[in-house]
Parts: sequence; C-alpha cells; structure tokens
Amino acid sequence: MTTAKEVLDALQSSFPGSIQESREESDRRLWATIKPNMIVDVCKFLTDKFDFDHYSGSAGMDKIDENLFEVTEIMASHGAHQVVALLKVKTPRDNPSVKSLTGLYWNANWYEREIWEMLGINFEGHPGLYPLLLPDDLIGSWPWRKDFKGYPDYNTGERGIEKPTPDGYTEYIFPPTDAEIKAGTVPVVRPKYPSFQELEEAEIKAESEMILHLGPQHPMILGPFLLDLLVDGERVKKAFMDMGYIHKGIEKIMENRTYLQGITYTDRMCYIASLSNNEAYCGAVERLMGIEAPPRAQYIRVILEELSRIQSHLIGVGEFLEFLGGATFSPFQWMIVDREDVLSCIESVTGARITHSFVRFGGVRNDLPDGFAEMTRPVLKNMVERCEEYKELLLSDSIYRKRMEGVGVLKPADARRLGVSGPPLRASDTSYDMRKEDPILVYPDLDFNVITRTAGDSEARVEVRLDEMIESCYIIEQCLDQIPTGPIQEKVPKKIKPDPGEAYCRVEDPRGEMGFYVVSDGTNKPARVKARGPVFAYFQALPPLLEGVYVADVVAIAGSMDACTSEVDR
Amino acid sequence: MVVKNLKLTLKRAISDVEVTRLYPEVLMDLPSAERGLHILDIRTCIGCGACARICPNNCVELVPYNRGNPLKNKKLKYPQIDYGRCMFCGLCVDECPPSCLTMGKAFEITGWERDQVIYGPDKIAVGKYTDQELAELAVEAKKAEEEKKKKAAAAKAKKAKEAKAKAAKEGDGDSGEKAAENKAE
Amino acid sequence: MVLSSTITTISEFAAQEPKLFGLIIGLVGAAIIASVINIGAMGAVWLERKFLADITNRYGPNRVGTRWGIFQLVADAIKLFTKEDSIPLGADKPVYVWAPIVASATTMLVAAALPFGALNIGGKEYPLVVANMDISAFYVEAGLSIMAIAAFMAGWSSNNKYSMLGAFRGVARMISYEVPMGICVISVAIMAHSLNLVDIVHAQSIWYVFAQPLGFVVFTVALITDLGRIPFDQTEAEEEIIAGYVTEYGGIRWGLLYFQEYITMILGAMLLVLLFLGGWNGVTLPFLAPISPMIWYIMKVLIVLIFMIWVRGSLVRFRIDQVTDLGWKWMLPLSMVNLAWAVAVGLYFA
Repeated sequence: MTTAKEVLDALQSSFPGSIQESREESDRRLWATIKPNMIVDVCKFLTDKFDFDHYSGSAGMDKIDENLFEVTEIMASHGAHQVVALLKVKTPRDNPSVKSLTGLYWNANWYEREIWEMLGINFEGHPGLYPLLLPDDLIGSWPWRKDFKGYPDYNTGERGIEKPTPDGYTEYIFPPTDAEIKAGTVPVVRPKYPSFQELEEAEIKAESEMILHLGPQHPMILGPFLLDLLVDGERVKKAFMDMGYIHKGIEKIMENRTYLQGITYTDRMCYIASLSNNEAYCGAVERLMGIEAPPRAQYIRVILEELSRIQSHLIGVGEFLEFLGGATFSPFQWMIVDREDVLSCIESVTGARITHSFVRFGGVRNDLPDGFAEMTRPVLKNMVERCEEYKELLLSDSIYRKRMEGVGVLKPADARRLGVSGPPLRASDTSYDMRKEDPILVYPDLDFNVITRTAGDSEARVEVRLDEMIESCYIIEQCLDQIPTGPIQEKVPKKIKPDPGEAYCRVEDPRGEMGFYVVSDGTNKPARVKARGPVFAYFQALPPLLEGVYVADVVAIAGSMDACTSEVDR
Repeated sequence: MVVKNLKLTLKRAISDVEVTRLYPEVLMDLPSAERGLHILDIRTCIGCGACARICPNNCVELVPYNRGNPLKNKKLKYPQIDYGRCMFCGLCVDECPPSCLTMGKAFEITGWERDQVIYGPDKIAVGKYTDQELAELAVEAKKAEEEKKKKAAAAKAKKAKEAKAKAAKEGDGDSGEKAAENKAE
Repeated sequence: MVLSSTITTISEFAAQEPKLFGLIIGLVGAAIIASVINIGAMGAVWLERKFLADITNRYGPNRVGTRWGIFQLVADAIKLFTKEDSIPLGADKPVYVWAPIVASATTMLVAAALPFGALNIGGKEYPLVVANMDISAFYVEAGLSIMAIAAFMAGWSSNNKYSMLGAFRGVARMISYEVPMGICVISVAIMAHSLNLVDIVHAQSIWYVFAQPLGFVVFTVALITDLGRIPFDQTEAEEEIIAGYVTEYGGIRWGLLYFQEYITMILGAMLLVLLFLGGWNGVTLPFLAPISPMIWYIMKVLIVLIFMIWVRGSLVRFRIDQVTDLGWKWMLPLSMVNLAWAVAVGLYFA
C-alpha cells in the first residue's frame, strides 16, 4: 500500500524546489505547500503515477496577518490507496490568482466558483466564473475575507444606508468615507452577470421548445434549488441548476464562535443526518488537540451514527417512492412509521429527534440509558424484516421496474469523474466507503461488507440504500455485544485552545463522503472551518445526467440521488 | 406482476393498528434525557453566568429576581431564557457548575407576542421559596446584618482605642497637634 | 296497499298525458340524480380517505362529525365555497370558466342514462333509470370520455406550462384507451344481443366476468385509465407537474373539477358492475324483497370502489409514454381477441 511518505519522496524528487513546506501527519495524510505555477503539473503527476483520481474539494482561506490567500486542494484516490494529499497554494492578497484544475478534474468547477465568489481569487483557465451561492449584488464584497464589513459591521455595529432596489428589495450601501474619497478608492459599481433567464432563452432553438421550471418552489424537491429544463414536448434537451437559496453562511459564523458552540452549527448543515456532521467536526478538532475518545464513547458514537444512517436512508428511499407514486403510496408511509421506532431509540440517548449536538471533543454528551440494548434489539430485528420486505416488494413490482430500470445510468468511469460518492458511486460498481478507506473510531474492529451494485441506474441506487440499512443493523448488533464499560468523556480543558495547526477528517455520511477541514490559530475560535459535503458533487453531476430523458424521469433521477440542499448551500 | 404489492397492502389494512398519536388527548412518552424547557433549581443557583456565556445564540440573560435568597448577595442575578431564539442544544446545561440548570420534558410554548415567550426565573424555576420561608430568611438576614454591623462597630471601636493608646504613647514625646490631628481623623 | 294504489294512479296519469308525464319524470329524476351523485361523490371521497388511511396505519378523518369523520367533506365544501375567486391574468376567460361546467354537465349526461339499481315490487322489476335508451351502454361509455375535453379546456386556458403538459397527457391517454374500452362494450353487447344496459343485466344468467374474463381484465384496466386514477394519473401527477390541469384552479371551481373525478369514479364502477358483474342480479333476500336488487347492486359497486382505492394506494404511476405503449400495443390487440371470442361464443350458443 502506498503511504504518504512514498508520495512525498516521489514529489520531492520529481519537482525539486517546488515543495515549499511539507508535513506527514500519518500514513494517510500528507500536507504540502506547492509553488503556485507548478500546481497543475504536480496534480497531473499525482494522477498519472499514484492514481489520485478523486478530487475531493478545495478550501480557500484568508490569512490577513501574512497578507496571503491560501487555497487547499484535497486529493484522494478511488480505492488504489488510502492517502489523502492536501496541497496548498499561496497567492498574494492584492491580486490573487491561482491556476484552475478544471482541465484535469471535471468536478473542480463548482468548488472554484465558490472560492472565487467568496474570496475574490481568480482562477485562470476556469470555463465560467459565475456566482454560485451568492446573489449578483454581493459579488465584489467577498464575504469570507477577514475584513468584510458585513451587514451590520461586526466590529463597529454600523449599518449601511438602506436603498430600495427596482425589484422591491432593500440593499445596504456603505457610504464612502472621507479618507476613501480623498484617496480616490471609492468602491465601483459591481459587475452584472447574465441572468438565468437570458442564459436559458439563448438556448431555445425551435418553436416547440420551452423552459419548464422544477424550480425553487416545487412539491418534488427537498430544499430549494433552481432546476430549469429545456423541454421539447416531454423530452428534456438541457438542464440548468443554480444553488444558494438557503445559504446561511455557517462557515463564516463558525469563525466567530468558539469550538464548542460550533458543534451546534454543524448540526444544521444536513439536519437529517446531523450526527455524521458532528462526528466529522469533532474528529478534526480532536486531531488538532491530539486527544482520542475513550473506547466506550467510540462505541456509543458508532451505534448512534449507524442508527442515524438507518433513519436517513428511510427518509431517502421513502421520499423517492413518494415522488414516483404520490403521497399516498403505502410503502412510503410504512417507512415513516418504521422511522419512528428508530428515532425513539436515538431520542432516548441524545434527547432530541433532530439536530442532536451530541458528540463532544473527547467523548459524547450522555451515556446510554439503562435498558437501551433491550429497547434497540427488537427494533433492529423488525428493521431487518421490513427491509427484506421492501426489497422484495420493489423487485417484484413491474411498474416500478419499468420506471426505474435503465434510467439515469451512471457508468463507473463517469461516476468517478463527476466526483459523486456514497450510494450512487457504490451503485456504479465502485467499492468506496469511508468506513473502510479512512476508518476512525472502532470501525476496524467491526465486521461488515461494503454494498455495491453494477447497474448504476436509479434502481441500483435504491437497492444499495436498502441493503445498507440491513448492514447497519448488523453493525449495531455487534457494537451492542462488544461495548465495554468505562468513562464517556476524556478530560479536556474548560477553554479549548488547540495549538496552531490544521486537520482534515472524513466520515461516511449517509449521503456520501463528508469532510471537515479545520484550521486553528491558537485562539479559542477556529480560523477557518470548511465542510466538504457529498451532495455538492451530486448537484454538479445532475445536469449532464438529465439530457435526453422524459420529464417524469427527471424526478426519478433527482430523487434517487437523495439530495439534502441545506448541505450544498451551508 | 403487481400482485405482491396488492397482497401486502391488504394484509396491512387488515392486521395492523393505527399508529397516529391522538394529540392532544394522548401525549408522547418522552425519555428522561429529553431536552425540553429548562428547569432551574433556584436554591443552588450561584448566578455565575456560565450558561449565558456559552449560549451560541445569546438567549440567556441574567436578570434580578425579587424572590431570590435574601441570605445571599443582593446583587445575585438569575437566568432568563428567550425561547424565541433558543434551539434546545443543551450547552448551557453542560456548562452549569453547580448543575442546577436541567432540561425537562415540557415542550409546549406559545404566545401572542415575542415577550410572552421570554421565560424569566419565575417561570423556569423550581424549588422557589415560599412566602413564609422568605420571611424567615429575611428575618435571619436582618439578624445576620445587625450582627455584622455590631461586629464591625466593635472592631472599629477596638481599632480606635488601640490607635488612641498608641497615639497617647507617642504623643508624650511628640507635639500635641499631631495627636489632635489623629484624633480629628 | 298504499304503494299499489299510488302506482295505479300514476299509471293512469301517464296514459292520459304522456308528454307532460315524461317531462315531470325527467325533471324530478334530474333533481334526484344530481343530488344523489353529488352526495355519492362526497361519500366516495370519504371512503377513499378512510380506506387509504387504513392501509397506511392512520386514522383518516376522525374529528369532524363523530368518531368516523362523516362531516369532514361538508367542512371541506364550506371551506371551498368561501375562498377567493381568482382567474389568472393571461388566461382565456370564457374557456377557463366553462371547463368545470362542461365537466359537471358530462357527468349529468352520463348519469341520466345509467340505471341506479332496481326495485322488486310485487314480482316485477322496475329499473331506476331516468332515460331508458336503446344504446345506453355505448352512450355511457362515450359520455365518460368527454371528461377529457373538459380537462383539455382547463389545461389549455390556464396559461400555465404545467397545466398545458397535463392537458396534453390527458388527451394522449384518452385517445389510447377509448378504442379498447369501446370494443369491450361491443363484445358484451354481442353476447347480450342488445346495447340497452337494462337488457344486458337481464341477459346475464351467468355473469360476464366468467364468460369473457379477458374482456373483464381489459375493461377494468381501461376504466382505471379513463378515470385518471393511479397508476394512470399522469395528468395530475403532483410530483412532476405540480397539479396538472387543475394547477390554476382554486376555490369552488377546483372543488367542482375534483368532485367530477369522483363522480366519474362511481359512474364507471356502476358501468363495470352492470356490464360484467351481473348488475343487480342476485339471490332474493328473504326479508327485504322490494329492495333486494338494490342491496346487491350497492354492494357490488362498493366492492369495485374499494378495489380501485386499493389499487391507488399500492402502485406507482407509469410514465406517459408507457401508458400509450400499454394502450396501443397490449390493450387493443387483447380487446380484439376478446371480440373474436365473444363472437365465437355467441354464435355457438345461438
């Protein structure tokens, strides 16, 4: 197995002088700062020689003390080895510009658009730097910079002048100060981008084509996102997607809250599976602090995360069946009924059914109550029976199979190139599961399989989820048998101030690969928190999948991806 | 074909019972770890404000409460929670040093205006002092204060006597003005 | 006694003034039929909500009007009547306003020719039908398909992309399934030697569900399609095109269109019972001799209704191109086979 040391040695020998700093955190983590003009060559070398074909994401950071911007590219591999390379590129703050990696990796597109609109870093060679999450009028104010004044100004509390816009909204404008007028640096009018309507109508070529909005408000979609289809009758010719309708700015908020308060914000990124988000964040901060949770706490975390996975898959498959058959389709309602039992089990430990805020640095918040095992085992047994029933039901229902077979096929090579992860990737014949690739907690001690299917169509994706539920039940049974007694919380200081450093932790969210990148500068608040969510990659991959299908299939495909929009927009 | 679907649906229709909870006649059986409305043990609260500092949304404010323990510091303040902002995360409960703030099983809270969902110490406290206890404690406090005053007066008198003795010892050699000055002070 | 004397008076009056008698019967019958089928639709909606809730482990309406929620539909109707009447800005106003009226008119037209049962008074059977036509089977089946015109009017005039898609789907569906349905009705008429629904019921010494099983299956599928029930409700698929052709309708206009769907469900169920399940034929019950055929008829219609609701709660819906595929590639040939079968059997027994 390739280790981080091998990769680092190969890099240093092939690109002498380009590696400015490097650090091997462990066998599986490699941190390196690369010279800006060599980043594309280094990535190409890694892809060709070491099979780093998974571009996981990229994070931008404002280091205002050193007058620098830093962009961190996260590279991993789909199964060839377990090394994660985090390559950093520094660029000066006055005229920031970094080479774009869209030539090498197709899915770098949206990550770079987000860094551009939030920090103002120009990506050379990017096909189209349009705003992704922010509305047009915030472009130019670069919200993630440390000197962003904000509405109202975070330090002085001053609010700008209210000015109504022609659309009927209110804009805040900061009047130029006298010093700015004297210096001649009055802020300029912000650039105007072509609206979506103009972009779409430029594509209409025939009389019979029209734009159909499965748009921000629609009974089908979970969470608002813009999905416009150029249809000709009932056939889709092209699809357009836009995000940002539920952008809450969580990452910027977390820079102004302490580490402990930040746990409650990570819940709200994907509220259906909030325990995985908690786990990823706490895992990263624990690496910064250099501590590890005691064994009992690790088992409790695994039990709860697998229970959370079961209820998230029930919602995922259930909502998808609702899209196909109407709200009164019985298996959907039965899944919601089953979900109540699982939620009661989770509630008896954490105290809440949603947004649990349960995982703490170095342990968990509560211990398992008495009688937890007796309450959970019948629920798990029932769950396994019910899942087998659902699988049989869906397999023998010929109307369902007619709708789903061969719809939205993701070939394995495409799935890897598009950057999807989680059940859609595993349904395309790729065995890539964070619990085996990057195991944390007690997953190495547990015995479970990674579920894969070869077909890659919507039906396979749903089957993978149903099988994963059964697998989770077995994992929980093993944990309940093996759990030791002991403390549930390691001793941590009252005020958490990790040493300056950075950490990246990956977990297997029910929807795919979830990663948290946390940078600490020695104070009690993090300097940068970046959440790399799995659904961001799904949405990026959706427009190419939707070309040439029927309108009814759009719902089947988008539903089988099991999206959670709140995670995309953060 | 679709026969299995139909068979299973009919089986459920005949054999299964309804699971809808007939709220509000039948309430849910909540576990003991449930994070509902707060419960403050007013007798143990020391007014440290740890809950107010840790709250991510700044919902907790410390306000004076007229039914607090008169034996303790009069400036003691107790937490007031704004449930319009509270997200029931439980960080305040974890941080409380004497563990007097806990979360109970109540979850129903409504109001017509925003200030009606701000629950002060009188609404979230348990173990409040009854009027008789308050009267007794007030009497005790008064007694304690009078004792303190007496002690302070006695100590002051003692100190004055010592100073006079010292001044008298030194004032033999020194001028009488200094002694007069000291006396005036 | 009183009953037979009333009947003799009425027959004398009918003999003296036939035209006036016909007019009075028509008006009285129309009023009764209109109220009966609307209340029947309310009952059908209530039945559907209760049965779907039973399948999905819920209660259904259980607060308004005792524990069984029987006044829930009345409350819903009051709510619909009191809503604001809004017409979209670019809509084709006359067509928009007339679409629900055309739909209601269709159901009244169909209900006029459909026997609602029979009464067995003094050994003679009196079918309860307003207009006893000679071609009533064909007329009823054709009348049910005018609903598609109302759907198209509603969808096209709304000036809305979703409604337009729903309207197109409705027309495509109707065109594919009219032919198989018509052929099945003709096969039944061949066996019964008449197109009059009353005669068809009298001719069913053995129920036609046993004599023409293939015809029964084809007709049931075609009927569910014609009514727009799941698995064939693409015209109003909520998840794809919001609400299909009724997207822009609100208040009592929507209420009318919604009720017409359930009225056609009841009328379609009655048609199925009359054609294939023996109508009101059945063993005479001992104590309730006068209304015994009525009880059989209502029981059979209820069973068919429950079957349709059961299918609705259990299956996913098709895609529109799969619906037309099914219609032209499977239903049409099968109905032809059934026609051949009916001719052969009819000739054999003639």
